[in-house]
Amino acid sequence: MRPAIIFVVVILLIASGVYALWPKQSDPVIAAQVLATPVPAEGFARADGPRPFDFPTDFGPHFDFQTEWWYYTGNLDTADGRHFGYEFTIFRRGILPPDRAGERPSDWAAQQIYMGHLAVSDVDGGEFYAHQRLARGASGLAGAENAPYHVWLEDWTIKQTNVNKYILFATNEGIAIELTLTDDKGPVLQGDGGYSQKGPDPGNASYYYSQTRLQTEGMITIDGEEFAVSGLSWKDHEYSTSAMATGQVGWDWFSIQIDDGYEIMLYQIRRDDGSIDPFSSGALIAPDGSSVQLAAQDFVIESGDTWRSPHSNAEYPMGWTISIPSQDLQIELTPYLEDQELNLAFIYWEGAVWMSGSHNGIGVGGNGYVEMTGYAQPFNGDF
Amino acid sequence: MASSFVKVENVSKTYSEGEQQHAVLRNANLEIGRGELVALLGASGSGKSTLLNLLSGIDRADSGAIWVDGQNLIAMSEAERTLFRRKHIGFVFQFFNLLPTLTVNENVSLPLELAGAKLKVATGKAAELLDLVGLENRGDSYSDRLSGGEQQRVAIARALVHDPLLVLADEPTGNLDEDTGNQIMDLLEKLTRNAGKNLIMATHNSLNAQRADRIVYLRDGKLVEKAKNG
Amino acid sequence: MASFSPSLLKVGWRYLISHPLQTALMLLGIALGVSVAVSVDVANASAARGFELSIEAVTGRSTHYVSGGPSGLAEETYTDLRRAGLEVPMAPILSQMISSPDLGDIPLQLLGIDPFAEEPFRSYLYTNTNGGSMEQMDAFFTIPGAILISTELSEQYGLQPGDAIELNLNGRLLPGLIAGVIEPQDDLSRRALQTIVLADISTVQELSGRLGFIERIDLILPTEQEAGLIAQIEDLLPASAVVLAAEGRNRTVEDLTGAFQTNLAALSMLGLVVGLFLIYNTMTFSVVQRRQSFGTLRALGTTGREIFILVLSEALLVGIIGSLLGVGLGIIFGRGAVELVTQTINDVFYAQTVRGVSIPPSSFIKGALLGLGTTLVAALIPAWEAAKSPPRSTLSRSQLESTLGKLLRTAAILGAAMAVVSAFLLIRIDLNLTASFAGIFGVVIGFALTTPWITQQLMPLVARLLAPIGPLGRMAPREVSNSASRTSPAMAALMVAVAVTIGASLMVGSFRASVIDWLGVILRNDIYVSVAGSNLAEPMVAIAPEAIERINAWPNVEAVHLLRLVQVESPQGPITVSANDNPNDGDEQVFLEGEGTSQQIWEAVKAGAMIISEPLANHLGLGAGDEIRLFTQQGEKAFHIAAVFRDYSSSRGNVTMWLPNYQELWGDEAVTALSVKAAAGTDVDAMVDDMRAELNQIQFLEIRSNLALRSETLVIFDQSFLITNALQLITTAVAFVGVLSAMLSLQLEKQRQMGILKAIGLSQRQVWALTLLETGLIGAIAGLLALPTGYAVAQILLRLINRLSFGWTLQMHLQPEPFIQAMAIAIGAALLAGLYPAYRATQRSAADAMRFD
Repeated sequence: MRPAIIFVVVILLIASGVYALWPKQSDPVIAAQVLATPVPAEGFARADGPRPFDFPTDFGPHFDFQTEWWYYTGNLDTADGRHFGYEFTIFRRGILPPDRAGERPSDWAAQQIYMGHLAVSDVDGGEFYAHQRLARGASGLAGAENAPYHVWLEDWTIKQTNVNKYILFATNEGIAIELTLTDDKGPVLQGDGGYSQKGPDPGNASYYYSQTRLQTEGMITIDGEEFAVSGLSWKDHEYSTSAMATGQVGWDWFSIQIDDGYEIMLYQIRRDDGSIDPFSSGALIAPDGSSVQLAAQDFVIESGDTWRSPHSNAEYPMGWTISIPSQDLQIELTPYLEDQELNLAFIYWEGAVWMSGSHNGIGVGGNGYVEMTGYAQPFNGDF
Repeated sequence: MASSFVKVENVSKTYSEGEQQHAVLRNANLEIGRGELVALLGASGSGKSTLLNLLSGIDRADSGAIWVDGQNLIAMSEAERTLFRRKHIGFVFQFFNLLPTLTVNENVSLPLELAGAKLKVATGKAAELLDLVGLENRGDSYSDRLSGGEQQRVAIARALVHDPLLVLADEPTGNLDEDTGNQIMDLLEKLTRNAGKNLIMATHNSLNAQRADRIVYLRDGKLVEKAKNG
Repeated sequence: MASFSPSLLKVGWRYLISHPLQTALMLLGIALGVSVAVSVDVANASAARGFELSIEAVTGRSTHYVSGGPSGLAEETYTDLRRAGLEVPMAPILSQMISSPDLGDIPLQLLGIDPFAEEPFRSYLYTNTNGGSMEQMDAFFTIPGAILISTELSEQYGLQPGDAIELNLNGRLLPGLIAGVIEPQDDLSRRALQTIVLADISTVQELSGRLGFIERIDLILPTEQEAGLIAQIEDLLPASAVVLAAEGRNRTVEDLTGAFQTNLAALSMLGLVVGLFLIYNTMTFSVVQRRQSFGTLRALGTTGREIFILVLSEALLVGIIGSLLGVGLGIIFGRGAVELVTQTINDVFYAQTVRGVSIPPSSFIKGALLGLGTTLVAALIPAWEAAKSPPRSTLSRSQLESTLGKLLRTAAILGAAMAVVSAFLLIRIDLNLTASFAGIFGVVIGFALTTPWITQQLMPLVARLLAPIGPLGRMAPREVSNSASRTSPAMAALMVAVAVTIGASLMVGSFRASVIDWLGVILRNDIYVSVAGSNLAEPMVAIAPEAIERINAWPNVEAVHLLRLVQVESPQGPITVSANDNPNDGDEQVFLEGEGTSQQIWEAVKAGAMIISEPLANHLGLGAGDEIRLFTQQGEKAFHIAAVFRDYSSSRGNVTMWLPNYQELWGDEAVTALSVKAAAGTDVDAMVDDMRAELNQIQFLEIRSNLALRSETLVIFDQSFLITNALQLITTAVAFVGVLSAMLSLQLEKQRQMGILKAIGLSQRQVWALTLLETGLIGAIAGLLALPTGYAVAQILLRLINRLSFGWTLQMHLQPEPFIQAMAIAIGAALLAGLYPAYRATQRSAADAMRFD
């Protein structure tokens, strides 16, 4: 072999060796770890006993409490029967207790953090979309008011426009909801007159009411394509300060709108030992708005299949049989889509389901929403 | 002492080549009277050039004494030997060793100039010498334009320009054809013997050696006198 | 082709090994040349990376931003945009330069952000997994003065979350708190966060007192919808705000630092050019010395091609080792160079927030290939020469030198042509910066090529001149002339190095003189005040109004002139506005062109016109009588340009206007510097001391007397040329190695001759004299020829390179020092290079020397 070639080869080898051994710059994703102590819940009021509700004032915010959410879910159809589910929630979290308001001169100095979740299940399209927004409750970026009831996070809006009419507006990356909700049934106080106890300590509770049958009309946009839809929505509004008790890892929550005019709300709190917490409870709401409270022993929830999320690797129950013998109610719930997991600041499954079963011996159908938390990570979260 | 112009007394010289010690001279002795022409014979590598170098003071013996005109070269410093050489020694080499960047005249006059002579004096004297060696017209030529014989004539002129007492010649005809060699030898003999100078000449050529008054052999590091025509 | 005999290679290797000193010097030459190129490349890459990171850290991935000008944007603007449902990523920013005695008092950028808006822009707070919980952010949001620092800073200064620290904002100390520590997960973010601390935007509003305002809103606009979105956004904005492209903000700075870096790269290439001469010299020498051996090899049946490969393979071996050494040296030099380069960039261009050494692998590959390529190119001609050697060459020396004589003449003609053509192109054609540097190289190398021939022509003259000192005086010039084949490349190398030294020193000297003259015109007041820690040339930090009031009321103050220096937006990117209320400012400027007398110009400025500095005029291609457009609080507005003035304070340039006009148009009352005229007979130094003592209670201010300001300006000026000096030094070192190597080679060759000379009576002292006379002559000739070359280089640097790089023209101030210095360097270097060869020559006995044959 000719020496010149040998040298060229040697040089290339040296050069490539140097290059290969040289430390590479890794992906320029800058990760951050913020080490700081959380603000304690002291200074906030606790939900520690029943108290009177006053609507429409109580539709609005309760800044005395650290955590609050306005939770809208619904099952909607187009005229030609294309089915959509949606979830639109705005969470509020107090980061400074109310007695420390106005300490700082900046308008941007925040006492509240708001988080919004928008999820749309396009059943026929087989797609589930979920988006999140965060903003401080300052400088008008996000906030909540009453009279009229108005919660907003940037341009995401929940707003009362009439005695029993509300509009919802949220949009993100081609997904949008623009809905008008009409409440013909009125708010239903959950638990003990709105005092919903979640644990043995009286403070492990929330104030909780629902608007269980909201006639809904409006527009859903998927990737810029608009669909005129109508159907039913459900609203939950809860506020509390540290509702969850120790040992509780998450909950399964059900809201079902039966086509005979009844609604069911059920939740079971799961404990870290796998058992169901005795503070699980529910309610059956009659067409006239009256409700029957259900205690943990009044209902049985059984799940059949499971589904493992490809995103979080969490395993969720999928499909439920619920029986409430005292109410002669036997139903089966089937998710419209398996993958309705929201992989956002926290991970939970919140999805549209359809139901079939019998009530008072008559075959009934309907729709509902199921929320499952604490499967991917312990859910003693911030909101 | 008056009769011995050059005296080599127990001179030893060893060259080291790496680990190897190569003794060239081992307690060599030689005595040469004023005006004598001496031929130095010996095999290649026997140390002829070394002895000439020691006699000229270019090189220094390890031990012993070298007396030239009553001065011990071995006791001198490098600078003293240079001064001594400038004054008393003329050198003729096998390969002529002229300086290619100098003209013939400059080559010849250089020793005088180095010794401090005025330029004019030096060139005049050089021209004189060139005349003697038959190169009166070549003074402005560059030396490497000359033939071998001519170059050696220039070298002889250079060796004699400062009128030295001792002329050392190292194979002066070794690089020349026979005719030219004889001419050079004639010239060298004439210019030394007739001027009463001493000539010590290392040679392989026995005919050249026959021209000398004495023949000395260098063998096993010793100098051995050889009878002429013996 | 027949297989290459390994024993033939041995001929090459053995030669290198048996001439260790020559080989070592050749290696050193290549290594130095490569190291300079690598170190500058490393320094440039680090500076560029630092700049990128500074930008990335601050700008993030934004494509545009909403600017509200100097007074900022009303914070509601952001809310309005947010609530308009634009679905455009947007992030509000309010930043502030701070320092902290608890964080080493280094300048830090306090970046006020809204963490919820940040994720698409700057990713420090986010991981790609599910990040920290909300609760961990609480302290950041709620505690006044809460900041986040990187783990590195926290470790360096021993600070933990929860620790209180003091923050120095605009010369006032305010309480702060470490709310958290950011763990950067890669090197880039680690470096980005070395000089950036984060805080919630509310915190920065409170600390800086800019309540109700933000600085800008960063935007990410998709290219295809850009125009529509900008229109939509601008509809929502007040007249005082404008949407601008993010790159405009960086481009000017990039252009400027780019020019600076091109200057450095060009200078570093000189090291290699000088190295090229050196390699050529050594290789040529080794070939010439072995002509006989090559002839013998040829006689034995070796082909010319094999000889060619033999010589190239030697060069290659030397090239590889030399380049590797050079790369290693380059890293070491590079670390030093990075310091100098970033320092200069900081002083002259902008406050770079990110520092540190980036060592891109490409630098090494570039350096190694450059070294190897240079070596091979330099070896080509010698290798070709060697291949040509006829079997059993008996070519005599004089024949060789006469062939060479022709070659030198050809080279001289070629070189002269090259220099003339280069000069013509430089003068006649508008070249860009890189082409201009190529032109300089053309001139310098052209001159260099004529050096050997001119030397030969000069030597007989010199011989006559030196004749009176004796035979050595005649011999030395002739030796120099006759050894041209050995010494001319080294001489050319030395000439180039010295010429560049002259050119650079003349340029710097002229620049310095221009600056001094200019300072004399513009600094007419007694005391100058700005906020401590702000840039000396461009103070943009506001002085507290209380401090201004105090100064106004100070005894013996005759007049106080206010200055607002600020960046405003323009359609061409940000422009520095310098607004003052000095009624005599027209007389304190040097106008290069203008409409009328200086009084008339200043009257026009008071009436609403502007004057613009020379660099800005050059960058924008504007002159007196043109218009410049700026975004004011009332929207875009055109200003008449009444004059162009000389300004060396910023190569970015600025526009100067009447302060009341500025305040009206931008609604900004801030003052960033002021000058004080003291009553006649006042002890100014005492006044400065008193002011310092009293005003520092209000705000840390830099209060300088006229004299102190001048000297500090010059200190910074000198600092910014440190890197230039360092590069010159290395180039001269390479040239020195070249001369040393050439002299050693020559000495080696002339051993025999030296032996003869000694045999015929050359004394030790004469050996020294002869050798040093020869090298001294080489140095003197190189130095002499470097004088006109250096002058030409200086002219090109002053007239062309400075204008292209920085936008200002400078007058040549001819001083004798650079020339004298250069002569001294040339002769000194050459003499120094002769010392060792001379010493070696004296050490060898004549006998040894002659036995060499």
